[in-house]
Amino acid sequence: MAAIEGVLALVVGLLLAGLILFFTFLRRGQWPTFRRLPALEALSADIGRSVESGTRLHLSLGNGSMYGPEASATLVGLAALSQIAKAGSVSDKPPLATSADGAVTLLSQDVYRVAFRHQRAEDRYDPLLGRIAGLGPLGYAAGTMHTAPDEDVTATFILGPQGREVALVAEAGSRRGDVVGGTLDPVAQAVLYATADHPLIGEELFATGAYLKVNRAHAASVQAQDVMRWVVIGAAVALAVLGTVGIL
Amino acid sequence: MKFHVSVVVAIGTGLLTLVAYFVPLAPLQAMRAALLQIGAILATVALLLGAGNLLSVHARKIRDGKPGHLYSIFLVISMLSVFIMVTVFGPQSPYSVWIVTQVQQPLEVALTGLLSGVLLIAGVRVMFRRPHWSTYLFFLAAVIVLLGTAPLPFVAIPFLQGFRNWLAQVPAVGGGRGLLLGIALGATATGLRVLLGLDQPYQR
Repeated sequence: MAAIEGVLALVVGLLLAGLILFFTFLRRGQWPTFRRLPALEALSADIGRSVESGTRLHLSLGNGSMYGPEASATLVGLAALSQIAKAGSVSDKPPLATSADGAVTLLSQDVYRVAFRHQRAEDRYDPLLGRIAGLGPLGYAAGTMHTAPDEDVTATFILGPQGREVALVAEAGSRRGDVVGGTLDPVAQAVLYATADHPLIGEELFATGAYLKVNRAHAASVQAQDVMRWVVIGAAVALAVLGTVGIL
Repeated sequence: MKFHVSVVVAIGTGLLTLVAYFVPLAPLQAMRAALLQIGAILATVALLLGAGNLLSVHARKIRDGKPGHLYSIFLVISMLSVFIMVTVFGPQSPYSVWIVTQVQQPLEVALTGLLSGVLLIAGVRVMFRRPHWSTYLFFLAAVIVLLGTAPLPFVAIPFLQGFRNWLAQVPAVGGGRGLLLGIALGATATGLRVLLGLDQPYQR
């Protein structure tokens, strides 16, 4: 059974990789049209508003590491940070990124450095824009709760792995402005549904890079996921029918 | 050139680790274990740098007299004293264990208690902040589950326990599995993007 599962995982992985490559290099000049996602529209609007009014944004990269299964959500947060940092690097108050892991913090500082260089504003680069707010899930939540009031933040983006303690981060952020939030854990997503102004549900978190136009591969991976979702639905229905008629 | 080297190292390491997961060959397994060990060591070094980062952030806050700098003074003193104590006496010493059991754990329990209150208030407030049928459904489901779980004095609502169990075991589990399938596909696609070199978080 384990061997079958392994082969199945390999097939799904290869199929998904093939689809991502196909959509990445297909009609490279055109950006695909996606359905409306109010949370990601709000995120883009908040970035624009912050640049215009010179106010500060806070991106919470969560309490995960680059080492576990939650790294995918951290990667989404870092991709979003690259766009947010580019937009905010010329602002009086550049955006802040908090995390709970050393490697994630180093990566966020690298993203900032590249964004500032891209905007020819290297002299304004400050490594402490990417910072650790606290260690461990509750330590991180406790440290991040102070970021919004202490740093004069007007919008909080929660894009990274967090548990139900995300409520404390979202609640502190909502006292100062808009909160857009998405995470991996379904329980934490329910918590964000109640506490964030614009929650990202399910796999919507993984569409962030495509909606912020990070690069063509992000859009391609959303297209590939759409195709694979129908394959998975078809397989689930087929297996249920085969099970019902007694073939499986 | 440096850019290309980092891409090759990242993709090569990722692919080797992934192949070793699927192919049970002894040399591959040994390489995978070695790579994971190197990763763990690097993560620990990064954690030390992260602690330095935390100290720098709060030192600057104290120096500039920013709002909340009194908390920062407390944090820096606590951080340094714990660091010195654990370094001198060791992580298993009664002093180090005392800090965890008598300071850290009670503080975490207090925060968890605060979390319950925050969630309750947020659950009620969301109805006014986002008036939508899905919000009302969310609130109704939460109330039914709460009533079906908590012991109610003097009243017994028929079928409530059964309805609560059905709600938690059928629609909630079904919806949760749907969410998890989407998340799994998204996570796989994100990992593959890095492995294919289409996304470089280490040099964006």
